[in-house]
Amino acid sequence: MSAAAAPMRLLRLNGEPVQTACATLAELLRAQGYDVSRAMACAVNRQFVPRADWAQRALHPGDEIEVVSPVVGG
Amino acid sequence: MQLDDPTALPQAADAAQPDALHVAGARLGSRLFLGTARYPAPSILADAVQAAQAEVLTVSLRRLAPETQSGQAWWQRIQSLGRHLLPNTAGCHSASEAVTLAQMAREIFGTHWIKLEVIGDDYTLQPDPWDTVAAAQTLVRDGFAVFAYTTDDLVTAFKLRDAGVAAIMPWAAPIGTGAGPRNLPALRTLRERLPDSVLVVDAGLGAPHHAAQVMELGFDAVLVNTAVAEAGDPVAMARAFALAVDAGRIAHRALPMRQREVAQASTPMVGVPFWHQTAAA
Repeated sequence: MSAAAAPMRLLRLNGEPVQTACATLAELLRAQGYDVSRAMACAVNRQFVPRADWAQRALHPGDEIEVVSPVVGG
Repeated sequence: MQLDDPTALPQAADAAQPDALHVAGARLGSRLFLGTARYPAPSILADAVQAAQAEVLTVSLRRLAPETQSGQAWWQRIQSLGRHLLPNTAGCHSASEAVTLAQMAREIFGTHWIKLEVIGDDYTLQPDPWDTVAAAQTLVRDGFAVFAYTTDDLVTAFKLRDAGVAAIMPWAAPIGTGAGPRNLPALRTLRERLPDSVLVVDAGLGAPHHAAQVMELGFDAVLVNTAVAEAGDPVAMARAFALAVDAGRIAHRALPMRQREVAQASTPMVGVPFWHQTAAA
């Protein structure tokens, strides 16, 4: 299979549907335009994915990805 | 502590000062924890933190959109304050959600402290005792210092203590109501039955006298957000809460008098003028 024919996957990113050819979480974050240098954390299918694992975390159709950052709180 | 045992009383000079709180491996000079939400501006939040002399600030996590550029300045300002950060799991409705969010918070904020909130009812924001206890057990095993938000239910507090949490945080009233302690006898019972646990009243305090009231009962600290942030002058209110917390703590250590049902003259009765004189005709 050539790179051009990478399979498309339908995922959910923060609750919104996303069609992507990205194979890993790190690729997806870059493709979606995230500045990954900022304070942020990720979970896939409600499981925490440490920052060190973003590049290795493979994505599969139906994966639900959450990306969060610090906010004020009580 | 017996009143007739002078060795049990703190030294006078020490008793007139609030004592430090030891919790989750930290020594805190301030017993007022401050929330960071709902302030009119970040600069007012920073000034309120200074006025409160708060050493513990609560923060949270929310979904980040790629295009969002805001929030960085606020976050850098919070970090520059150099206080202990206590991330919460606000908005979670199950133990598994709370555990995952706690793990995300640990990575982002660089702390193993977590204010565990698992909500069981969206209308009252009443915590779910079953999932709170289950999440606390998992998080403690995973190395977290858990500050567990709960109701004033005694048996739930026992379960949280047995799970090994760093602090049990009963509500005074539902979050954001400012109603003050709705069930003082229940709070008093918690203090009496959990003498060795760190107990922090969280949620529902609306005015400084509410804070003083629960500190007089012997609670170790209070957490306040809305009552400061939504005051007309949040910075002045932060200071007022700090004074009230100190007053309540000092009063607790000074052993408040017991209440009586009937009057008892405070001025000596011996030598009262006109005693047994017949009134002039």
